[in-house]
Amino acid sequence: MSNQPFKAGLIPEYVIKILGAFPTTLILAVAALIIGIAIGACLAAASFSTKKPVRVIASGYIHFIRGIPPLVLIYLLYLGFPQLMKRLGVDMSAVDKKAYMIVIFAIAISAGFSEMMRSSFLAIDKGQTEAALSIGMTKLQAFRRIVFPQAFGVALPSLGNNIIMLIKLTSLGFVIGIVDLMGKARIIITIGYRTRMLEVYLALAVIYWAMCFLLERLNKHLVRVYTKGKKQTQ
Amino acid sequence: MNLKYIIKSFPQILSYLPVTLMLAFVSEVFALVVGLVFSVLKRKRIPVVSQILAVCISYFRAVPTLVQLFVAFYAIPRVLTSLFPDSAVIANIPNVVYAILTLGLNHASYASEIFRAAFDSVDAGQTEAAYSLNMTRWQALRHIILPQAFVVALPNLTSLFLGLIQETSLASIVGVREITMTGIQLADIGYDFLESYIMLTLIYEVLSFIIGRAMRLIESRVGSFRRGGLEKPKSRFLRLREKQADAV
Amino acid sequence: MLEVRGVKKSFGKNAVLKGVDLSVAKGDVVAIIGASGSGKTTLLRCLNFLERADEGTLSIGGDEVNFKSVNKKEIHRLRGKTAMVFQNYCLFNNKTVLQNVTEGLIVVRKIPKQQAIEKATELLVKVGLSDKLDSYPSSLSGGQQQRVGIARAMAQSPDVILLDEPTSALDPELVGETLAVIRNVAKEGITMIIVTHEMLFAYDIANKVVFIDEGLVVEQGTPTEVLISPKEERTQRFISRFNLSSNYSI
Repeated sequence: MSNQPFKAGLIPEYVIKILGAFPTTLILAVAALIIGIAIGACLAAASFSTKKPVRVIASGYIHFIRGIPPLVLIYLLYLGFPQLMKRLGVDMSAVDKKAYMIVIFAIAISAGFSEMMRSSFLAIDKGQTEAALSIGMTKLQAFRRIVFPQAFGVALPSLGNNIIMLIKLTSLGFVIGIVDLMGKARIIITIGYRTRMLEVYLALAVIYWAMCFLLERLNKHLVRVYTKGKKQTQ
Repeated sequence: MNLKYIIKSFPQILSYLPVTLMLAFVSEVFALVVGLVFSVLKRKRIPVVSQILAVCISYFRAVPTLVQLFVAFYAIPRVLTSLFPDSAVIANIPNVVYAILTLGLNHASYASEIFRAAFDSVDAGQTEAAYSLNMTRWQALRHIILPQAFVVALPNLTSLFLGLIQETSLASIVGVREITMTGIQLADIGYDFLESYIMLTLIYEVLSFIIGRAMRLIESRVGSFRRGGLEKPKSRFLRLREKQADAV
Repeated sequence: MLEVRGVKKSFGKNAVLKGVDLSVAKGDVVAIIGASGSGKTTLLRCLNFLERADEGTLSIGGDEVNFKSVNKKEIHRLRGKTAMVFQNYCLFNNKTVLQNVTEGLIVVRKIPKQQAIEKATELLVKVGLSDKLDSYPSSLSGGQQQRVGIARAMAQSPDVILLDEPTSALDPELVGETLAVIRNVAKEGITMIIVTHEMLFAYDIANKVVFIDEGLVVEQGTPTEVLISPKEERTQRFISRFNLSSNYSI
């Protein structure tokens, strides 16, 4: 460990340097979010299925994802899975690292997203669907026009939390060599002969902190706008 | 599958399970105690204290746990050294201590929110009824409020704890030798990635399953009053009375 | 036996009680009536110190305290002489029916457990709940819960039982059983103060009726005086809303 005196004045400089990798983190998060929501939606739909095997598979998948640490999931899928495929005769070495990582992140968050969607739909009274059907809407129309907008309002606060969790999760990408915010910070540390570890990590913490703070604000604002809009139409 | 490797290394990985469990349990106890203190402090709304608390909680919730681990790992020794310049102990503090501190405080921030919500969920009438029976604040808390708040908090505390078990794997990155670190190192020797990570996955899955089940059992036990308590045995007195009645 | 003088209580700018006087003799059953927001519930809660009155004095059995300066010890002492029955029952959700009644005896009065259980069982039999001793409140009807509430209050052997609209949260078909229990308690000569909307019940059970309006006692007297031939115009207006000659039976 370094014996250099701590210099808080270096932190802003490091913040700017680390932010150079912000686009990578952003791409990772946004792409994983989209895929994660898609997987989550399928899982949520599967959990409402009338066929038991479908429900069992969905709940098994969710339990599996919930039981495995993201770090281990990354190692399992990034290093373990290609070995399995190789033994089966499929070469995965050409797969893009970032794209692969995005899928892994999406898988890691899919369970949480499916639970979020599931509970939001359950929160909407059955009478809403019944009333929609009673005025002649089809099931799809009832879902799209009546149930979904209400469920979305219910899900909005936890959607914000889930996105923040995803952003924090992307910090694990560095273990397989992705240069996101975390990866960049570690490169800066190495280049600086490991003398400014605390300053760099504090700079990194500041960035994540600010990101989450802004996201929380945005989410609160959205919740307010969304619920206000609904009250006006009621 | 490299069976020979599995047979050889599985016991090796398992031998570090106690470290993972110790990390999880000690951090959890720490988190529960600190979380309770946090939630009480938040309630009191002491001017400066509550602002500092809010900043701390926001830090622990917003920054990735791994970054927190790094910050603690490099910051705490420096702070300690500046306080006790001559101490030789500081350099010898094992990494696991920093890991426990970080994981504990991190989860305390979440736990404090769970406690707050749980206390709020207990109807004000419960406290009033307790006071009207002339209970003191402490008696009301101990006999009426805490048991009810606990039942509300328990499912959330369970999922928090399951999350904590998973986060102990991050300690491997700051050099705490637990199961994940052992698994990674054993895998690296002969590139037995698949086998290693399947073993690790298995251990974590089984661990989550067992603890989840156990907590579910406890939840249904302590929460029986919410469902009318049908499974609760009759009181001793009533059984006695029935016996007497039968005798007559 | 119970005496309040000049009780005042404000919530912010809103003066709810503006100097209420009330005296209750031993064995009295006092019904407090009045419109919603008149302050009658607040008065009752002040007597149990669930609300802290701003001014005034309270004396129970010669033990007098000033609301303005009352301390914890005095509150504890005077609370021991009253017991409260709540509008929404407020049974302890985490305790069985039996435990709800024994809790105060064991925890506060330090009565040996066996003795407390015997006393509680006796009371619960009296309110007709002998088969529910080990049930939790969540499995009881509102009427049953309120009967437990009454048993819980009686178990404290208080000088006065305070009942805060004991039937207003109940479904109409459950009001009767609860009123019947209260009537039985009254017959035992226990002093009671009941805030109620049930005019006929008040007429039937009380030996003194107090009409409160806008934080002041407007009129008090025997049920006949206040409910049948009120002198004050405000009382007349209030009473005229209720048809006292309608069928009323328990």
